[in-house]
Amino acid sequence: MSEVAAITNSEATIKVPHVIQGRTDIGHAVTHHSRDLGGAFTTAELKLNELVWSRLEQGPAFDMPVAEIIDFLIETGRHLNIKNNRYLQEAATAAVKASPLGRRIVENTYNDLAHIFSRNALEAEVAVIGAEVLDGWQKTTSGGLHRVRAFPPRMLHIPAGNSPVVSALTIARGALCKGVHLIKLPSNDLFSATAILRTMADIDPQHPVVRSFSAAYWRGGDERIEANLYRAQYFDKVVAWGGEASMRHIQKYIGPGLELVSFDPKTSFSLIGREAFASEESLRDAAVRAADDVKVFNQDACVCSRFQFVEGSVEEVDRFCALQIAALGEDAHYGDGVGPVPPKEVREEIEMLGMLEPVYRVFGSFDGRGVIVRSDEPVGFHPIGKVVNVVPVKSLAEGVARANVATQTVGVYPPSRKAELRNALASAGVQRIVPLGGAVEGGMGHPHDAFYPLQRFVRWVSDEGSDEGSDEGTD
Amino acid sequence: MSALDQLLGLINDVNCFNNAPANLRELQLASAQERLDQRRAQVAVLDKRAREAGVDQLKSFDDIVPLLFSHTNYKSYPENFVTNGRWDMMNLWLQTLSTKKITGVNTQGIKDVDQWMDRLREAGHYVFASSGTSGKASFLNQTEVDRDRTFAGFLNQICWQIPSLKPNRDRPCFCSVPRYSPHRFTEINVLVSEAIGAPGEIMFLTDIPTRAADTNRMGAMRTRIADGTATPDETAQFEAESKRKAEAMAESMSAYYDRILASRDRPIFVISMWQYLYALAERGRAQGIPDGSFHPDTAIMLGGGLKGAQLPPGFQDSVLKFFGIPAANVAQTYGMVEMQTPFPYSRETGGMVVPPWVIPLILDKNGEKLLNPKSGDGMVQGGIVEGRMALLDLSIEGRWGGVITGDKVMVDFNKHPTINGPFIQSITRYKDLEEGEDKLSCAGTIDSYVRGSINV
Repeated sequence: MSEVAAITNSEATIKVPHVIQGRTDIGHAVTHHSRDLGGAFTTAELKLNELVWSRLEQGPAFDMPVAEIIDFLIETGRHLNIKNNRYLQEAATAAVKASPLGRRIVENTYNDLAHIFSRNALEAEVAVIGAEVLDGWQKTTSGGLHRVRAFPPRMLHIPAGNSPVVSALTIARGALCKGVHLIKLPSNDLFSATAILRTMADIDPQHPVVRSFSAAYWRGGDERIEANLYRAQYFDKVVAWGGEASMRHIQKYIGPGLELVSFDPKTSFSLIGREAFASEESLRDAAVRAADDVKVFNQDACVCSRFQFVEGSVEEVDRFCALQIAALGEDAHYGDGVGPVPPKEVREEIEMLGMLEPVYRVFGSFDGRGVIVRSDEPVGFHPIGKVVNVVPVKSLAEGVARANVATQTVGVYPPSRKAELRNALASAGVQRIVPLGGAVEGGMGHPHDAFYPLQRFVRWVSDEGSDEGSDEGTD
Repeated sequence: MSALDQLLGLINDVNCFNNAPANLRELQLASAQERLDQRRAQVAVLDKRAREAGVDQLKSFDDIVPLLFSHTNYKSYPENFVTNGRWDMMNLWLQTLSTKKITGVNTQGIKDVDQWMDRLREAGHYVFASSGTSGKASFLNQTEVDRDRTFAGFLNQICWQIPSLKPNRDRPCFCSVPRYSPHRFTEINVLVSEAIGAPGEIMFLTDIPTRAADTNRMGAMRTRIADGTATPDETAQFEAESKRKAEAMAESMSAYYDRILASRDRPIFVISMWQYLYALAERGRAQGIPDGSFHPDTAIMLGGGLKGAQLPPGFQDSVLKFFGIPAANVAQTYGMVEMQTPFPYSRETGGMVVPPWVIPLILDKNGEKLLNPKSGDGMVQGGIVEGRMALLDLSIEGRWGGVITGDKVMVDFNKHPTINGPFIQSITRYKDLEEGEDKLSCAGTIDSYVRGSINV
């Protein structure tokens, strides 16, 4: 019978579970500190030997057909329901403490994890490389006779913790590529990955996919652990989600045989064409969509828009801002109508800009309903905490010029203008062009960070020349 | 005499650190109210803040907290005002943070922020700049009275710490700041060294001028790299120029160190920081100068934290051993540009003494909640508190004196029989502390793609 950490009980120190190849390991051998949880938490002692899989043995799921893995993941998805999954409940309780999201959104996020484990999503992800090449050595004569297999990798994952979606994607993709996976729990999401893995283990503790995953916490940069684990002898690839400091640690260990797959931290913006001003309806539509992309995850994710470049005069753009400020105050599936406020330094800068009217104009106040700063050039600070900077432009091309290598998603209104902008945006570094209001869509089956994750995760191993006489040689 | 006048009168008293009025906290609260009433009519941002926070009457120190400005407020101007030469807008910006009306400033033909500051000074606004590592300079306004108070307060706290040191203009004086810079510490060092040092025997870290425009130019370069408009040649050239400047600076610093070493047999006065004196000691030892070679009447004043400099453990002892002068000749201070005068160190309490005209406000990390130990009436008493340093400096005339710093401090509020508290026992910068390195988010900024790519 598995134990749930006493996260709601302020008397007890919080115990963060580890999951080692399907076995839950709860202990208090090591004490860590978490600002997010407001105190100390403990974990079991890390036994490094348990965190690696020997290269002399095939991983538990290496030979399991993808179809069966998909079935198991779908079954897992059925159990990812916060109403009766206490692991998810525990993770959500911790997330409410650690993130700027309110409980309602946190619960929506956890409930929606099941979408990642749906047949459509899983099959779309596999379709990019095909189940056949994951399942076996595919014969081809292209470039000369050879066989190729998308061979299961040995991976170390360092996921971001601002949304449980990252842990869920890590596990789903990890399972689909059949490899063995060690997940380092992020300090701002200590429970999501293990919640999913424990849900899987409850279904079948001996399932090959279950035995292919471990998840544990250690302090990022702890050399006693990382110097011994981050080695090509044990792992092929390190998947790192951003963070300059964490990247600095990891880069020390990247070398021949140990590849870095990075999902870099990103920022996003919106381009709103003059078509928005065609009618009151279109303006309202654009304002609501624009607000949706700002307040999604309370503006604490890579997809959230922080700047909006609007084709219009200052007067027109101010009308747009007035409509948008109302929309920002409305609850959305992933956004709080009354949400976070920006940090003090940003507040003060906005306060100051409000004094410089009419060059700048500030809409809204610091009541959690959102703030818009309208200015003739983008502001120097980074808008966070439901703050968006609206810049009137003569042409959307001026907005395109603000795209750079850190830009992930650009929302465009109306969608018919995407085609004229996408080459320039892609050239500047942008990875995702979406209709305004659609920043949060996407996901499985799509590229991420301008590559197909599954395609990068697997090892493309070839078996060249004739294999006549072998079992497979006859097919 | 108002409560405020009573406290401000103490700035000219060398013994003000022992002689605070018994009802100091009451006087401070009354003075804070006086200041708030005056400043609200002058500083628009403060008035707006007070209105929004609903603070008219200060019933306790807690009521001051929502009225404090972040230290970063003094660099909240939009960068494009500077790059586009919108000096009229810069004046407008500065006005929102200044008490005196900014009028009659000639903005014709201004080329950079240094010239802008010159013009402001010509109009009676003694604006100084503070270079951040962020590539954006802060600008703080001050009046003639502020300059006088700074000088008096600064000199007094040195003489209070080192009673044997007299401002007799009779000894070589070494100031570890550039001789020409828009930084406030240059101005203070110049004034103090002229009071203590013999004419013609006052040396500075370097005579190469430091300019606020250089700070902003670095920021502008960062921006150009970020938006992809900087070419590789341009970046290389920028780095080469930075390297050249650093080398020139290192050369003039070596000359400065050598002059200090050469004067060691005379009583000298050195105003410096730990990292400079550590470098000096290393240099001296490398030249074979034995420890304790300095004249016993030599006096040192150490200011500033380490500002991110990494020094080996035991660096303080190493420096003091090299000088070998009596402990009574070593003064230490905790100061910052936002404060009129620095806090002096007292050996008896092992802490930096908060002067009577400063209300120390120790806040939580977010700068929102007051942690000062308090009795029922919100007044301070007893206990040790750790948190973010904030303060209301009642002595400042040119701007609102309420500011939240980037420093993490430990403060002893316990009473001492002869010295006024509280005492600041340890000071670190939040940004030098280890942050949660595994708290990862997919949300990022261009900064992490740029940082480290230019060596400046």
